[in-house]
This record gives sequence, C-alpha cells and structure tokens, in this order.
Amino acid sequence: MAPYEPHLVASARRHEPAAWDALLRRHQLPLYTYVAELLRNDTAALDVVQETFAAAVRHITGLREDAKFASWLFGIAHQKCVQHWRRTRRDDALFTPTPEDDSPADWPDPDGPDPRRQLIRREEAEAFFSLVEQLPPFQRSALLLHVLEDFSLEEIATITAVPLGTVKSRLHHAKRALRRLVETSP
Amino acid sequence: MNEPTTPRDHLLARHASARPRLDALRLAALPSPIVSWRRFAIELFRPHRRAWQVIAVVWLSLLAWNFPFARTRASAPVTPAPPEAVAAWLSQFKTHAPLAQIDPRP
Repeated sequence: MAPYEPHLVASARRHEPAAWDALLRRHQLPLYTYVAELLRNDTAALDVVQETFAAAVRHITGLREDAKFASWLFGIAHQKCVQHWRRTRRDDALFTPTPEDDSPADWPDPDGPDPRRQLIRREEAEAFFSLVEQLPPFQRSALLLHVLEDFSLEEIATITAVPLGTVKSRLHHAKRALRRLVETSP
Repeated sequence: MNEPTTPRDHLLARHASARPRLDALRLAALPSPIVSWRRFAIELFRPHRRAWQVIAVVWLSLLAWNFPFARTRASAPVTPAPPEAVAAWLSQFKTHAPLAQIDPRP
C-alpha cells in the first residue's frame, strides 16, 4: 500500500530523498499533463515541471501544516505557467481576466453531469480534448484542474490565486464554450 | 482497446510517453541526503529498536544492581593486616629476595 501522503510530506520536510521521490513520482504525470495541456508546448512543459520540482524541494518549509501537498505543487506549476506566458508574451491578453470571468451569473448547475465521472471512448476523447485546446487558458486551467486531480472549487481558487466566484464562473464558461464547440464542430 | 474510461485517464494516457523524461527530472530534483549525527543514530537504532531496548534495560539493570556494591567497596574502611601476618610475609620476602635480586628495604 502506498504511504499516506501527510507522512510523506512530514518526511519531505526533513529533506528525506525517499519521501521526495515517492511524492514527486505520485504527482509527476498529472502535473506534467496539466502544464502541457495548458502551454501546448512539450519542451516548455518539461522546463516548467523541472522548475516546479526544484521550487518545491527548496520551499517545502513554507507549506502550511494543514495545506494539501498536491494543491501547493499545482499552485507552483500554475504560477510558473503564468510566468512562462508573460515571458514569451504569447497571447498575453488571454491570461488577463475578463469581466466575464468574475460574473457570478450562470454558475455551474450542481445537478448537471460531472465531466470527471463521464465515461468516454478514445475517439470521443481526442475530439473532446481538441475542443478543450480551443478554450482560453484560464478556462482551460480551471477545467483541467477539475478533471485531472479532482480538486474542489476552493482548491482551484487557491491554486490559480483567484476568488472562488471567478473559478465557478470560469468553469461555467468553459463548459458552455465546449457545448458551443461541440454543436458547431462537424 | 476501445473501452470507455474517464477523461482523466484519457488525458494522462495522452502524455504517458513523457514518463521517462519525468523520471529523470524527478531524480535530478531530489535533495541530497544530509548526513547528521541525528540521522545516523536514527538509522542505527530504528531497524532493531526492540533489540536496542532490551540491551538498554539489561545495562540499566546491571548498573542498578552494581551501584550499591560499588558504594560499599569504596566507603569500606581499610583494616590493617594483623602483625603476625606482616611478620610472616616479611620473613618469606627476605628468604626469596636474594633469589630475585630485590632489595628488601622499603
């Protein structure tokens, strides 16, 4: 059985390499997937993951006792992604929150289908993710964190450093945009 | 294989080919082991904690058992040997001293 994560984090705080190995091994693929889907550049994604690992090892003492390691790690990676976008000045406007992002209107319907639980076939998945790639980065980020690591809305708000209402709004807009794309795609 | 799975599974499968490079990044990021006396002691005692506890108990028991005797021996007054024993020892010494070429004078 895999060790309980808080125990690993406690050992990681004492700079035990085995604990770090287990922790990073557990999160490396979801983390890379998140970054690669967000940046759409494999080389840059690997650079960001490398920087994230290094920053995590260096700043582990800054992790609050009650904080979740995964949220903290994804938060570092998210900030690195934002820095990367700002450095490359690519589509910078996409990373600037729009007024629509903060609109509390039309928040997600709690009774609606949960994208994390839906089962899809491989062909459908490819079509789905090609549509996800067309979403603006902030909406894509919220959707990926929601689907990939089962993060709660509060955790996504912490990771992306935005208010909870903004996350709800982004998720709603992401789902609505996906629905529109599905309807218009051939 | 075309079985339906969750979007998460599909997403991870899309990037699974990066696993070897991620392994390399992970290994490069691991902190170097800090050798300290504390860690050395932990690594020495932790695997056989029960054995070390038993040894410690035995040592403490022996110490506790011997402590009163040690005090008694240290505080016991030195009783001088009886004069006839000293005389017998001296005569024996004088007999043997020439054989060993020892000066009998103190």
